[in-house]
Amino acid sequence: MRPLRRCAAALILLGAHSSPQAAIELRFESLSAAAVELSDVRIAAAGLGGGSARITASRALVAGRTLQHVKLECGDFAVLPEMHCRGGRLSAEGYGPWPVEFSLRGPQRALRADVRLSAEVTATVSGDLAGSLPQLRLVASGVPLEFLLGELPASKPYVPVGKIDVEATWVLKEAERPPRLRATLALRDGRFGSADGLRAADSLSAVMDIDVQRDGPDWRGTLVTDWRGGELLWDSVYLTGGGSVLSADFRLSASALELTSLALDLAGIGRLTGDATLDRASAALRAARVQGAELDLKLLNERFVQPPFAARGWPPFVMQGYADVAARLDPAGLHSARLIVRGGHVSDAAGRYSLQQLDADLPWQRDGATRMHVTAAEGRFGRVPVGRFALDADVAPDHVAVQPVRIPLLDAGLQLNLLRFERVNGRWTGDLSADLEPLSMPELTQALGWPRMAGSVGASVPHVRWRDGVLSLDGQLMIQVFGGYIAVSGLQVIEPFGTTPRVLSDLQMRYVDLDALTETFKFGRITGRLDGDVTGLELSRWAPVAFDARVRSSEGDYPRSISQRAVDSITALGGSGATAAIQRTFLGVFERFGYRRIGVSCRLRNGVCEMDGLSNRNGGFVLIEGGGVPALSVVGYNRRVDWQVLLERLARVTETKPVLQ
Amino acid sequence: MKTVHRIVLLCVMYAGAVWAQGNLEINTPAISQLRDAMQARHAQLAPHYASGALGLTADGRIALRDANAVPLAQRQAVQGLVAQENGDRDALYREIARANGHPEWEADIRSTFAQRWIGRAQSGWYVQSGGQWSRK
Repeated sequence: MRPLRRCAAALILLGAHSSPQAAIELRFESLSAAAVELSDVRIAAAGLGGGSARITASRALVAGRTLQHVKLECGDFAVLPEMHCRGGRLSAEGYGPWPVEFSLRGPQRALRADVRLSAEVTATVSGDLAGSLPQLRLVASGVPLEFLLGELPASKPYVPVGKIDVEATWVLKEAERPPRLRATLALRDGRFGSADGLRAADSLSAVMDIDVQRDGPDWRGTLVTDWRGGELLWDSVYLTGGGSVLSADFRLSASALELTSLALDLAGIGRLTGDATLDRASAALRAARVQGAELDLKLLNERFVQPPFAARGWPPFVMQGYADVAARLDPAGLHSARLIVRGGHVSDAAGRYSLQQLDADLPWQRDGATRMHVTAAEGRFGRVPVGRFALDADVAPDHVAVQPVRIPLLDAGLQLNLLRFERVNGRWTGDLSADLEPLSMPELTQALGWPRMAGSVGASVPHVRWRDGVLSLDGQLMIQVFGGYIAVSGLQVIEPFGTTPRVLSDLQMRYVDLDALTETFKFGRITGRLDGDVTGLELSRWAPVAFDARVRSSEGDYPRSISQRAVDSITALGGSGATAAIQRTFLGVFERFGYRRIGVSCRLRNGVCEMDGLSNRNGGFVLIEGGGVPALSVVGYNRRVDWQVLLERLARVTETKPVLQ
Repeated sequence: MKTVHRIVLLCVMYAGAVWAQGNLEINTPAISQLRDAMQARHAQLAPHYASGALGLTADGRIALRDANAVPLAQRQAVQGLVAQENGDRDALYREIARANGHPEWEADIRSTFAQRWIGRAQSGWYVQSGGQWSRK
């Protein structure tokens, strides 16, 4: 009993009366040694030199864990001349019974104990309890993980399973230092799974090295966990292959686990450092600070950022570059964070947008306001290149306001006057106002891969609102193009980022120079000016499904002529029903014809365009009314044209002519 | 409402009858695109209906009811498929309502489609009724 350092005074030698088989009964209020504390210990033995014995403790505190109703029964128990227990059985509430044998010999009090935890698993404890360097060594192979985790509440919903190989050395006394435990726990075939299967692991292997020492009522030490292999799924984040190492200093008190000098090396990404405090009983986080520098954004995105978006059906995006991160957490979650990106690159995996050489400083606070700063050296939206710009945004829990900024586009720029998001009654709303400076059409059309067009395009967006998934335009969007303008009014874009974006709008086109428009295409050349009105325009997935459109030559005095090729194109558009009301002989003689008016309308419903013209003539409708010499009229007869067929015909007659440089 | 139901039912019967032939005739470009996307995705979803990982819900969507039936490495991807499929299903109901000129019919169309999907589910697939899952 020498290793038992503290022994309560109430050692009572009882008479045989309380247990008929026992010659000796001992009772201790409490016994403690190193990391073991026993309460209400009773020993009943047939004799000191042999025979059966029974040792019970109402409570045992072993390395910080409480066991109730601990019981050891020995078939043959002796204290003299040497202590041994043979044919024993050890149990506690919820544990065992396990066959056990031990012996304690010689002046060094050499202990050897074997506990058979199962048919396959035996834990062996050996070592000296006395002498110059009293220490114990525990070796156990294939200990069930669930046995080690015991009743830990945080682990219960995940039903952890696995085998752990344990090698531990317990130095009981070392030059005035308190007892010290060094252990290596090697997990193999580890797996766990939540009921819904969204938090799970399989074939996990990991090695934990732990060095722990008693410090007053607490335990303190260091631990290193090396994840070596297996698969891990945590909600939408899936990791495989291991290669990540977590190390920390820790202090385990009655109420909390404090981790300091925390370092997490994430395979291929970089190192996070910090500290954390967890509630001991619930394993809930009380507070944590994490920081990391020069983290690889590409892998960080692939493993941790992208997956939650992908799980919600968002299109994938790609990030590259390096990032520094810092975050503070409290029981309510993320309290504040800062992300600094250097030399970054962000693009949509489908190539719809990209920003390059991105530098960003993005501070964030749960309960306060911050200013974020982003610069990009270049980028692309669709096929349109974007030049260097710097963006500042004020970010608070309920609003985000981007400061006015000019974003260079080709030879012009997009002036963002207002871009603001606000959360009202739990829902985010947005407001935008912008001007597009006049942009060279040759440059724009070249960038878009369209037929080269002349002139310039500019636009003014007075105010766009974003409410409940709908973008709507207040006032008119003015687009200056081809010497005239297009005014867009009543514009609504419903669920622009959804699977079926829908657009509602009216358009008004005035005084558009047909020369500039038609010279671009193989269509043929028309000189003149055009007005148009489109009402009830409805696009679904960016393709028209309904509208009432009417285009006509503008009022006023200006040269009006149409080339023979354009006449052919227009008649081809009308299909076999359209004819040019002029003798073929004349058509062949003249290159260009005069006209007085052009007018065509299309009412699109259910994939069919119902066409009409300036007036009716001989059961048809007049598309071009001749005037001057030589005059020419074009009459259509086919009033119902399939919209898809019309688009195909239009594509044929507008094939780009070669652009001569 | 009777008219709504009759028209929805007609649409659905028609859709149901020809869906399997890949020839749905509720013919707006948006609906055709949704149909194509859903048909292309169905080949990836079908084994997970059969395994019981996915089930058909009473509101005309699908749900990952038991991820344990999916190999761990594929669970992340299946979550994405489910989100995409539900996005398309929601859009489909909305589009059919719009195509018929009655956006307010969306809920009726959804519930009629839900019954139809469940009715046509293969034997062994999980379907939801009154919040409970059952195997057909």
